[in-house]
Amino acid sequence: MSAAQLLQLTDVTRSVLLPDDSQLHILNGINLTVTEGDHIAIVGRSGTGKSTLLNILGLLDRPTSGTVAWRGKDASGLSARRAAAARGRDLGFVFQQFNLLPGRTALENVMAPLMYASGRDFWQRRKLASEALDRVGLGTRLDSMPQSLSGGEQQRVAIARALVRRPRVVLADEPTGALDVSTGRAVMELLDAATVDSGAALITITHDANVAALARQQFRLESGLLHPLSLEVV
Amino acid sequence: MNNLARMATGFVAALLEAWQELRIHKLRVLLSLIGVTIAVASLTTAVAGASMAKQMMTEQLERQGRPALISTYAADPNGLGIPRSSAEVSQAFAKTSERFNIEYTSMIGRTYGPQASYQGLNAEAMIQVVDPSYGPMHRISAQHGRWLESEDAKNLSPAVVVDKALFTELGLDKGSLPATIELKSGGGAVSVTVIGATSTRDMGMGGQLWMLPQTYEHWFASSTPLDDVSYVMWVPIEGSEELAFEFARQMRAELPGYMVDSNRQDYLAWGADETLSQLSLVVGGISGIILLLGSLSLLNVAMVTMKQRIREVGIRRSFGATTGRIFFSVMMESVVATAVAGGLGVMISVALVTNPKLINSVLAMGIDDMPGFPVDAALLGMGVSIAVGALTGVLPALVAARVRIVDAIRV
Repeated sequence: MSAAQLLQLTDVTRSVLLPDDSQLHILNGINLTVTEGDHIAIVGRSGTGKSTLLNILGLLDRPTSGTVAWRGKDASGLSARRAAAARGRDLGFVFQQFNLLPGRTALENVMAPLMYASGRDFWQRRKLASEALDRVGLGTRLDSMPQSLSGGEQQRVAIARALVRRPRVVLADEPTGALDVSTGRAVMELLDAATVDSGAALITITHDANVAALARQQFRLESGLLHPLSLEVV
Repeated sequence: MNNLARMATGFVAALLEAWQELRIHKLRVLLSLIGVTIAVASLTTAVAGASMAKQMMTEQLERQGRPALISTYAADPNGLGIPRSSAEVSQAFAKTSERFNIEYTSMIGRTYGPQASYQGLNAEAMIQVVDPSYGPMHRISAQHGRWLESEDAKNLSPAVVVDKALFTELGLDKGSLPATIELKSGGGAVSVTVIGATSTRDMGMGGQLWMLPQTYEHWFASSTPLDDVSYVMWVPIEGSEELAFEFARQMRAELPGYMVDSNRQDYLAWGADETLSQLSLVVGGISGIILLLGSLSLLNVAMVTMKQRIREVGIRRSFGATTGRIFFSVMMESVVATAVAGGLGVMISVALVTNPKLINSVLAMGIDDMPGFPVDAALLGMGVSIAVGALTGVLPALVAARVRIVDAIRV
């Protein structure tokens, strides 16, 4: 039985209007298919539109043209409310700067997405968040504040937070960008293992070839287009 | 049902988020809410104080007679125009009030100067000669013992009820009732039985005691005839003026040659309640201005804080928070904060207004019956604080809801 298709981008373009009224074309016709269990890496230099592509994949932004299909249905027709619901239910985000909520403990940070859930996920949020932190090896740091955690630990909290609602797709934007090489590698291995365990697809945006090499599919984003790559872990 | 459950969960979650946010920024919240707390405390105190003062004043005024109280004087032209006690007038009054089907009526006669004595203690007292209905008509009841009843007229020992002043001056206490005291009037001394004591006292006056007309007639009238006798009746306010006019006319018919006058004697007839309404308006107006200033300071802090929380809003949007949920959560932060501040303000107000020492020192008068804190003032305080929270929360909530997720995450 073939894996289910989650996301499909067809001829996606994205342009923005500059202050001088000229158009800046960031994406020029992206075609990408994401299925369950995929691990895709997209590499590219700064300013090539990696984050813009991630925003479109995460239903945070809409393409200028082309179609984004979410589980076989055109996502451009999704209302903001339905897009938000899909994002909360099926997508998990890991950011470069961790983006932990200030003033809240590790546990409260991981509980935060469950505040937008309903039913069992909402009412059992403390238990689910504790389990998620336990899975990333932070079961003993539940009440630690972000500033008392190392960069690697903060990113592990962010991973637990991204996975706590059992999303179908995890989008990681430069997840190791703020970490040293060895910590970054450990975090990526954890992220890869956690998504394999949960069956979620993982899309990593990075400019680090070693991080990209951990993925099973690799692409280079250049001139607004995706080019297949073949990288190996060094 | 599913949608309803989801909505309920969303509401609870928004409240929890708001509470969490306030907990985290407690110092900022505390500082920004001082103005609201003070404003709500003063507003509630003004409303409650005015309401309680009004209640106390009303009760005090009603001791002079509850509206509508019609007083009737019948003066014998041979008696120099002074309304003295006479069986003829009493009968005419009884007959006329029965004709008008009036339930609450009483004679009122006064004698000043008798000496009351009990176990070596003496006090000057005023005797008020009244019927049993006088109590409910003047909001007077016994705090200890009981009030006068018609049957007391048959007692071999004259039954009297004393006020708090006389009760205290004679050294009586609850356990000593019924107590026998000496009443010296017009040269003779009569032993009377104190069957009850009221909680009231006439401000600035000495003690007083009440007894039935039959009792006075039997024991005291021969030595000290009653002066200044009138007859009162308690009737519905509506139509009372017309009733007074018609009553006087019929009394005149019953008492040819007498000068009969019937008119309203209660406080509503001379507009004593208007002063308090004006006082409430002035204090309420000042509190409103304080509240406005407090709200502006709260709004200012909320707007500055929201600018610093744009990234947080973006992160929450990435978790699946809708625009509506962000709007509601931010607004709830303000509402929950002002509700807490309002609750604190109301508690301060309750502590101030229900403190008898403070109230007595402010009003410079001894209040025996402290009225309870008015619930409507507390509800008004809470309502106003929640409304202020909702109004000052709308603007930052709009700013938060209009944030573009993509831009917010990059901040």
